[in-house]
Amino acid sequence: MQTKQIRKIVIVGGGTAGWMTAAAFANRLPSQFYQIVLVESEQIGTVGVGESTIPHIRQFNEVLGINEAEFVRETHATFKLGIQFKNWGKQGDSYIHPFGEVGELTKGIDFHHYWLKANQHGLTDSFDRYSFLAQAALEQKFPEKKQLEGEKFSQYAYSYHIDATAYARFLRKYAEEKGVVRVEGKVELVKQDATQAIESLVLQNGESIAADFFIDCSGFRGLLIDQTLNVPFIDWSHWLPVNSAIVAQTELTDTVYPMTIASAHKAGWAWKIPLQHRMGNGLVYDSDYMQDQEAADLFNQHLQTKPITEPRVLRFKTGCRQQYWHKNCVAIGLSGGFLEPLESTSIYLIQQGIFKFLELLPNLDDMSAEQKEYNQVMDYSYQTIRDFIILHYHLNQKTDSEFWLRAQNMTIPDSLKQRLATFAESGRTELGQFGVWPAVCIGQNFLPAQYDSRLDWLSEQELTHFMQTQKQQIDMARQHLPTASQYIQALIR
Amino acid sequence: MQNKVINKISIIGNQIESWMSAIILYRALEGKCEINIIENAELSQPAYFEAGSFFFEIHQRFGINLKPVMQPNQSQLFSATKIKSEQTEKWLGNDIKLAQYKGFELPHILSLLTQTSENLSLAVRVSQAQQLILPQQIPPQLGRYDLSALINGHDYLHFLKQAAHFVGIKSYSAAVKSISCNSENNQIEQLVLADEQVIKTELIINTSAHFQRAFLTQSAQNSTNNPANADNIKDKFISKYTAFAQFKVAMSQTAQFYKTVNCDDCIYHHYDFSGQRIVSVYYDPNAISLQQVHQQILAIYPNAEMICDKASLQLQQFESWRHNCLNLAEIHLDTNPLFAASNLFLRALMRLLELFPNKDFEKNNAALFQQLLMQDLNQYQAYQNLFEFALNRDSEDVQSTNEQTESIQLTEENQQRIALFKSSARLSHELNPLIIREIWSNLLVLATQGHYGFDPVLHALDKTQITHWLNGYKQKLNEIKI
Repeated sequence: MQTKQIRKIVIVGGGTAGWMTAAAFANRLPSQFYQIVLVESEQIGTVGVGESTIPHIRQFNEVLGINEAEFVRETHATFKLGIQFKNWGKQGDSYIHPFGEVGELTKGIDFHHYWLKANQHGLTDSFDRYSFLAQAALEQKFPEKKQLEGEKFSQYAYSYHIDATAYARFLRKYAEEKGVVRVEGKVELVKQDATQAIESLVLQNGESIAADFFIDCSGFRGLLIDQTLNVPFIDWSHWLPVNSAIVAQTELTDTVYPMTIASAHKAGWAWKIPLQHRMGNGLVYDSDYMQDQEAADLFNQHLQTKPITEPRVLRFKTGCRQQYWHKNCVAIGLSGGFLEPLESTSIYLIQQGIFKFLELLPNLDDMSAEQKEYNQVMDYSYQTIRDFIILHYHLNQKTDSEFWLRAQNMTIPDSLKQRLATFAESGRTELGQFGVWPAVCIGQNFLPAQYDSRLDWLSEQELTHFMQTQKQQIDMARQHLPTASQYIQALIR
Repeated sequence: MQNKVINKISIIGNQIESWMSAIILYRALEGKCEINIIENAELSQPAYFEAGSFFFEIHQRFGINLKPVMQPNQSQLFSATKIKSEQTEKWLGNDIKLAQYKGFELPHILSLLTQTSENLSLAVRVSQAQQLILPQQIPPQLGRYDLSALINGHDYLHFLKQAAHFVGIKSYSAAVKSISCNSENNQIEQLVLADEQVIKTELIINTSAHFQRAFLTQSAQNSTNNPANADNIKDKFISKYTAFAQFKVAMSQTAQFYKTVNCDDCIYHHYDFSGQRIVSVYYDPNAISLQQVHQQILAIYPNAEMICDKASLQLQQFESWRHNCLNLAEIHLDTNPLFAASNLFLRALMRLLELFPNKDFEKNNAALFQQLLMQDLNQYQAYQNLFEFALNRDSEDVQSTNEQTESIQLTEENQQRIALFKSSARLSHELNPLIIREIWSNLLVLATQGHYGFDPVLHALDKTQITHWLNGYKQKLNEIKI
């Protein structure tokens, strides 16, 4: 079968998305056959998305053959075991959404049902008291694989806090070593052929770069997918209305937790992310409910240490493209869609966009089947994560803020409504729901009406013994763990 | 909180699936629940039934030792299906992991080297070896395959009944005459049997077509209280082969480690083992009667004896939960010539355990059950649809770009499957699928008649080395003794 092949791919934009794409493409696509060019301009800044990540990034690095110690050293990374949410249910509440399930499936029944029954019988422990990772994180500890080998908690998940700009730089080096050609320049014109497919880019200096396929990593601008191909943006801001963020870096605090901290405030939330050499800070807000000056004042209160950089304001709109792949162009990263960083999913969505494209790399003759598959998969990912983020807002019980009252009372997507109703009724979740639903729902005081009725066959004494055993196992395992800082120092030494 | 645990389960039906449910539930619920079986004896039992690997996995999970029914004279293991039509003979393997060269699966390699006419499925090769080869006897780099089995239905049923009685599961050999429901929540509280015995119940698992027609279908049609828990299935259940009959036909000389599917107006399964040949016939009852089927068999095998017949329930809607009654009759009565329906039934039973209800029979829980079951049913039907399409393509123009044959309308989902496979031998990923991608891949090779693409990255690799790898693979396959 004679088919026309893609031989040259141009990536537009050199932020995290651009260089992740370039590195992964260079790793997968042999350089003697595929030419990969990345066009970026130093005149255009990058957003530097996703200082906080989820465990999938480890898979990305592993596929690329990146050494963990080198990665941690170069990106000033720290380790992350989950996210601590403060003030999300009610003011003063705090819970951890850890990576991986809390407790384990026992006799075919999920652990949260055991906790629910125990809770109804007077157990005062929080749900995350039964998460090994949450308990380690609260003690600023990090599990060492070797120490836990063969033990109950040996298969734990973790990720990193990274300096996203350093990560992009690190991947640039990796990509260029593997033959990616970087072109410095600002795209002035995008030329299309008769079918509206993209033919070439014309840079400000007059240079023309033609290619068979184009990846739009130009960020919110969507230089190709939006400005050229006019693929509509689906606005989700009626569900996720925060639209502004102030960000700044500060000096490191004394206590470095292996988790992201997300604290709710009257019109949004604020984050704290520790790196090896500094803290990343941000305050996200809805400008309809909070003026910029008020946000700036609140942000300053939020900072615990001396600023290293000037605060800068970012504006955004939540939503995604109607199609991520259109004609001979795929939008990866912010050009494809934006979901606020509450669950640290930006880099994950970039990664998914890259891997799915490589998995479906098409011939040029007819790309329609691959395109359809790609768009369906990415749509599902964006929607599933969107629903999970809405869940955090919707489940609040605050009574003193218009912003939060609106979130409580808003109409939520049908897909979320159904899942929420099922959890509310019987604590059931289904495969493929993003995140650890019981941790978030219970953490925000949203308890199912019923635990699994089969636990009525368990006596109170048996249940108490079961819960105590779970706790003891966690306490035993975390006893001799190193601190997260010690672990990092040993790793990068 | 009020105690809402279900303590009494009634299983209605006299089928293998009815007894299998009883034993599995007994084990899974650790004997804490009273289980009764009401044997509505309206159906004959298939003398032999097909079980996939999931069947074995579930029995193992619940500590049910199948050794007594897996003796050589009671069951036959196989790893592939031979599909015969007038013009062709093709093989479909139960591969669960395909051999790979640098991460590229075998179909991509065969397509690149234009060798797709050769069937290099490990599962097929093992089947053709005419002796039992267990998967663990094969070097892992050649791939992996699953063993399915044809099990003697009478022996297995006897085994289940013995086990059930041993653990105290009660059975009643009488049909249900009437039911009495709670006036507030419409839950069935009592079953009155033909012999006037009264069985109190909290949860009913129905595997009986008779019970469904008599007590469930009518009320379901009148029901408006829970439309979310019903799916239109008239258009989804698209196979024409909705009836099934089984015959014991002749003595066979040798055991075969595959099943044979003959395609005509009907689809015939041949199994040979232990000195017997069993023929299962799947047919379209609108085109041919059971009597005509029987005559056709008798014309070939004069001593053929019919041992079982059944027909799928032809319903407008499928509603798994009706108050406190879980209706699984459609599932085990469904006929599918290629795919072991026991897998579908057992998946439904596992869903019941995952989403085990309480006495309130919460509606969202039921809706989730229905949704998951429909996902399985849709896949099951899609596989059937693609299989029938593949059979029909035999006599057609292989280069045809039109994906519709004269008689088989491909579902939209299957059109996309074929388009993707033809373009680059890829498959969609699904979470916890009923049918795994390798099995789809083997069927798509048949459905596209070997005219499919490959991952374009292969263009960049050294063809000589790929050919060398393929030759090595073929050589290792040939070392599997035939």
